[in-house]
Amino acid sequence: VRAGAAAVILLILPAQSASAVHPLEATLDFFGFVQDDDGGQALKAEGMRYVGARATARFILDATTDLETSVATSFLSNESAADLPGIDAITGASPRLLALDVSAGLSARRGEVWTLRPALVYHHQKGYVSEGVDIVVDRDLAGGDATLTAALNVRVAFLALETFRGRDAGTELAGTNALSVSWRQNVSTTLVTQVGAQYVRQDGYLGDSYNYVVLTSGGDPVAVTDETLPRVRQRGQLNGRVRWSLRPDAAAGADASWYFDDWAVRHFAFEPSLTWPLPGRGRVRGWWRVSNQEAAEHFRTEIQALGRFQTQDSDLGSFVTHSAGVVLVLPRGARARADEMELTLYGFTRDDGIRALGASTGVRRRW
Amino acid sequence: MTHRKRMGETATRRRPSWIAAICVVLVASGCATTDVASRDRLAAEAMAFDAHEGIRHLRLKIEAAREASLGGYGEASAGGCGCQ
Repeated sequence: VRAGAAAVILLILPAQSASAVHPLEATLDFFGFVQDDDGGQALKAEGMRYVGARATARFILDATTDLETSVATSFLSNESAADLPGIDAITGASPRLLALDVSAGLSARRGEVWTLRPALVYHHQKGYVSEGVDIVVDRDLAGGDATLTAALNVRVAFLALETFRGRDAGTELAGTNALSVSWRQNVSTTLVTQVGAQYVRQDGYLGDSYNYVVLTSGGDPVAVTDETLPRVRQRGQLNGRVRWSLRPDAAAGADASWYFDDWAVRHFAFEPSLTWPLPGRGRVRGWWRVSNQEAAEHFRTEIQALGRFQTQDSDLGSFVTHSAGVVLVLPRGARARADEMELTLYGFTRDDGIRALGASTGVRRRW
Repeated sequence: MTHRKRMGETATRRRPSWIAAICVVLVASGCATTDVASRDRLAAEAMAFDAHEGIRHLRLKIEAAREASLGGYGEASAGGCGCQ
């Protein structure tokens, strides 16, 4: 029965078949990330430290159903607020956050061509709790050469706001509804492509209560006040991906996305990648990503008079980002391909002065 | 009132073309380009769009936080916060 189930899954999901033949697969990853602040918003300290761990488990329950679970926790330490000459109002913002993410979902095969993947997600951190549902539907076409996927993601967040001055600012709600559609197509026995589109609508409190804007006069800061942003945001993204098999276990890839929203943000990203086998059945994957962002209409580097909306969050500004990374995958022990260890080095630099370096290590075991 | 009715009529007349377009997509048979026995190289992990789950999780977190875009290439945002 197990062999039959594996054969069915192999037929249906050719790109994921290597993991599907094992009744249980588990992963454990540890992350570290350091962001340096040598720019961004000059009147804010934007450096941060991030460490985290994530565990996942995937069980094959029967011939048609998998159970997938994940637990992730992270600790974030932000730099204290920058000193502003003549202004001592910024005193109370908490620079440290502990976050928890939990998810559980099913992957249920229905008939010859349909797969339903419902999931529940939960996120908890100080002053921010959200709950949500994901529903993903796959329809295989052309005997498995194409897959049409539609996904709905719903999130409701409960916020207990604290201002950058450390004051309680009441409670808020925020909702996010995302709809995405994608089409994967085998073009030949060595080429696969995927195109997709996403639409996201967010309602409610969409700012960051720790964010502030600095009013200046003659170039000198004279006062600080809250960031204010619209309570609705509609967002879209178009995506294209391709993988080309150069030889068995070696592939070149290219990914691209074009993002746009009604806050006037535009963002384009392009990412070539290469995966190459190593001696001993390991492999190495490297990628480079370049992206260009045009700022939100409410973003101002310098504010002399308050308008209805304003932000100085540099992540909503204009910049070009270069990021690159390399993943080394090493089989462990005699059960090659069943146990793997991953080592990753990752970094990015933005032309507005924000830089970061991250690393992760993880193990994957299949039974 | 008359104006509203005309607007409604216009929307009704346009609806079949939308429905037809959606139906075409849903029932399209896709392009059969390979047979099952010849998909070994397509099934290799090197060909997966997101082969490394751990770094994918970290990258989605960072890209969603450090950019104003959605990050990634069509995946749902990392974790469950829904803040991006």
